[in-house]
Amino acid sequence: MEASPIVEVRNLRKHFGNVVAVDGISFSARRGEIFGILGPNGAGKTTTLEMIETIQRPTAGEVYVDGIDALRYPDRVKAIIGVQLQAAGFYPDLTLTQLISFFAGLYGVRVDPRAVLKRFQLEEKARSTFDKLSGGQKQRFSLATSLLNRPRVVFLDEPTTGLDPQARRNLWDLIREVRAEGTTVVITTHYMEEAEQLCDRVAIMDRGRIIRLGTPRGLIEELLATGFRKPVIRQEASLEDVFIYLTGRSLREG
Amino acid sequence: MSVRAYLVATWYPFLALLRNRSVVFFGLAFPLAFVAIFGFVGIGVLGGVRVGVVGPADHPLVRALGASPGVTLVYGASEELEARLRRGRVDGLVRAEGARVILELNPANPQSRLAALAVEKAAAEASLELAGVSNPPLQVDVIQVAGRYERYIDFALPGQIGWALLSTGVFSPVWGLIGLKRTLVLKRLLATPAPGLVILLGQATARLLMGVLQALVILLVGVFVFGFYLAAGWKTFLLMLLLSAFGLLAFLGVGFLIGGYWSSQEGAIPAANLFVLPQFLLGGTFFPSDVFPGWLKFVADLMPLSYLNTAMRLVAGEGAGLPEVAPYLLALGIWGAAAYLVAVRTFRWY
Repeated sequence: MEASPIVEVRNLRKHFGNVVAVDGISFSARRGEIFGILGPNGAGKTTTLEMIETIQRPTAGEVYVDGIDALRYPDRVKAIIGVQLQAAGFYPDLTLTQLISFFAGLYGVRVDPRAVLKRFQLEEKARSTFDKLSGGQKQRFSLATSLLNRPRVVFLDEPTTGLDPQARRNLWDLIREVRAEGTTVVITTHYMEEAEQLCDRVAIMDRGRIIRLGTPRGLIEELLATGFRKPVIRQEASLEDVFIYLTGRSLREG
Repeated sequence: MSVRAYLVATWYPFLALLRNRSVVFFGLAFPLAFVAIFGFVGIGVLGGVRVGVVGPADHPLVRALGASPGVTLVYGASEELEARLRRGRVDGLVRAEGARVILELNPANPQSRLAALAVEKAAAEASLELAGVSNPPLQVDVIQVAGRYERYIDFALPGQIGWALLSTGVFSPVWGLIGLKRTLVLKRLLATPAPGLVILLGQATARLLMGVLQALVILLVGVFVFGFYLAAGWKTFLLMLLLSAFGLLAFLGVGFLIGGYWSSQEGAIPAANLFVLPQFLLGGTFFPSDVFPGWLKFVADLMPLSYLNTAMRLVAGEGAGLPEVAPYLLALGIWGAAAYLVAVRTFRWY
């Protein structure tokens, strides 16, 4: 028997005036998987996440998180989810230690800021302010705050956009660790390579609709079955492989 | 749980305000510079009258004038002193030669009346002395009524505090909330299980603390550096601080309304100025509303800053207590309550 879905979305819609941002989508994420929402900019990924996170109110449709009706009980949903927004979201003038204590207070949990920062390789930045961090450090910190309340599911909105290859790989490792601890991960991206490496299943969104949903392998097989062939010579390695080979996997941070 | 959420939702935004240089600069340095300017102006303008003298220094009138309190004598050549008189650099010019004394005045200078008074008084004293009257049949003793606006700062400081509170109360949340929307801080806070109202109350309390701190510093500098007069001593001081907190609470409501409704500065800043600037001119910061024609005085007296300034001056200058200023606080409270009611309904988190 398959476990009940941790996130379930039914006929979800969002209109902004005459603009339809999300056009009646349905999907569910299974417990313990990394579920990707892929799509070009403006496809409706962020709006979809924010409706599940109860930050935006849907025009129509239903959302259930761990069986809880998110429209009726937004506060109960907020307590069991973790949220990483697409950009910043932190007071630029506070130190990382202060920010951790701040969010721990808002989530009503007790944590040791040093231990949290250590886990995300930020212990040396404990006294730095958020705006002094590099792009990768900001995303790691953001992930750290989204896990403070030991959520059952975390929503990561384009966490690797703008990162260098080392920082991106480092974040992938951290996301895999989070999943290994039993937290479901819902992630949006417009990097296909990332989705292929990281996600168990992906939904491809365009113009507010989900146009395909499946495992990365399954979707590729499906495409190949239509007779599609990539018109390129088979490469044993990509330029990114060269880059990582030459510059190493270790993080570069000031 | 909610109590702790409220405390952290207040404390950390407060820390962020303290660490923000522009908040500290505009909140403290700016009003302090104003207070300092008025403090020095007060000493210069109302410190006394300057009377130019053409004639011998041992002339009986000149001697009597020189001995009068609040009179500064300026000696010099006739043409030079006349030029000064025209420019208002001296308030009167005395030509004293023998029994004939001429006093020249510049009616454009409001201080000239004081100069005339001082010269006439000195002339009367000198005449009596010359006539050998050491025990004049009539004697006028001048007793100054204690307290009210002996110097300009005593009028200016309460107005400066009111003005500083109005601009902080409105502009601090307008800049602040729009910045927090732009950087998605508010959205991230909304994603936590802490209730939205608790988060906003924390924001308001942090700004209230900051504003009271600002009023405290301005008051302390006013008292200790410029000798600001407190009618009933430290009771006045505490009551002024209480009025500051109350006024700020009302102004913050308007700030939260504007900064909550708009998500960009293009709309919010003109709206905030539309609320603040008329009060800056009409709300009794620089002069009382009695100088306006009736209809304008009516409008000016309804402004929240007018209520605060009036209450502040009653407390500071006349030593009024809480019961005397209660009607003004009530009016201010109505403004504030209306602002918060609208703000809660129109607030947008991003």
